[in-house]
Amino acid sequence: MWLLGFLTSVVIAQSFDFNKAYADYVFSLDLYQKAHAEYVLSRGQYLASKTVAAQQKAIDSTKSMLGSRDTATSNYLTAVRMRIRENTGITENDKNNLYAMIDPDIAWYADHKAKLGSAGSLDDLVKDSNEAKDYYQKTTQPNVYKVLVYNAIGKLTIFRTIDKNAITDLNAKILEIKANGDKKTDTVDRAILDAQNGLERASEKESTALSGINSTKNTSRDPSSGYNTAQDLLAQSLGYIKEANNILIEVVRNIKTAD
Amino acid sequence: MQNQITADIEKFKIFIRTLIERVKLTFSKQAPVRILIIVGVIFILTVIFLIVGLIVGSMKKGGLVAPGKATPTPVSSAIPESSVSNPSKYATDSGILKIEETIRKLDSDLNSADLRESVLRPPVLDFDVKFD
Repeated sequence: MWLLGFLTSVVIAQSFDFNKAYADYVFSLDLYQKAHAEYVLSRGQYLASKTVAAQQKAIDSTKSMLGSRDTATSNYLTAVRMRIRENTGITENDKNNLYAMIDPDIAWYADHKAKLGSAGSLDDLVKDSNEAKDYYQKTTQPNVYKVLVYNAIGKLTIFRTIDKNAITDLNAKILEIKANGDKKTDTVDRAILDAQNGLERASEKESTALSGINSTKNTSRDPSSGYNTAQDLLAQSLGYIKEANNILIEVVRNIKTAD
Repeated sequence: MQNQITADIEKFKIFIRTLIERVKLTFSKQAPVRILIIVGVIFILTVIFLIVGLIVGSMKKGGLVAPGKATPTPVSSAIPESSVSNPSKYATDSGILKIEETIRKLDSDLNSADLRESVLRPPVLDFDVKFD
């Protein structure tokens, strides 16, 4: 029995990936939007009539909306977490640091949702909602922006690594060509140097983006501005990598062509 | 009036009979030669149409260049073609071909990279809950 339970948990753990987490998030966001529409309707009816029946309906729909909002947020964070887990360009150490940011947030929304059941009045629910608003703006949002920047840098790291490995292989081949005296290699030597410099510049842009997003304070009024600045730098990094890769394509073409 | 109609019907019958007789004659004595000529002409025309169609089709695909028309200038792409006009001994080197395959695949990945990952944009949620 114990073994069966263990195997089942292993199978579930293996099958849960980003695609599954993302599908869960999209589904829960849809449920939230429906619950929100119900909340807007019952709120309007309560404000118009102020009857006890309308108030009870407003309490029920608000509770449902706040609960589905917590679930949608939690599922969103889980999807982001799965994306990080599957990003091979992020080091295990960085991944653990990012999990340490996301996991408490996921737990917070689960606790918040559990607490909603005890709310007995609209005032209680407004207070609960404001609590979530405060947490989302001051903690979750800045954390998410940091994680998304790390995710983008992970992708760029994968690209840069591929080009660096290609340069290593090309250098080995160029040494062979020099030893055989088959071709002149001055042009390709210079081009390889240009590609290496481009990759260095790309790496510098990523470092600047990273230190910028890490120094963004959680009290910042607009956490998305730090994220946008970081993304601009990462777009420049991508441009350098593209350029370096095009140089390498040209180097290969040169090697394949007789003098 | 009645007589006129009867006369016309008789004339029509005679015309039809004459026509049938002529057709019978055609297909009995001289038929093989005429039919062969007709089938031959149709066959030749079909072959001519097929050849003309193939030539026109090839010219549209760029297989053949229509005389008098200028050759279109090839559109330059970001990545040069992998084939080279004057190949060195390394043009078929397995190591070089492997590197080329890797960096060309990377080029495609770089061009489709979505660093912002739009699907993971934070959701739009309503946090302004109030009842006054």
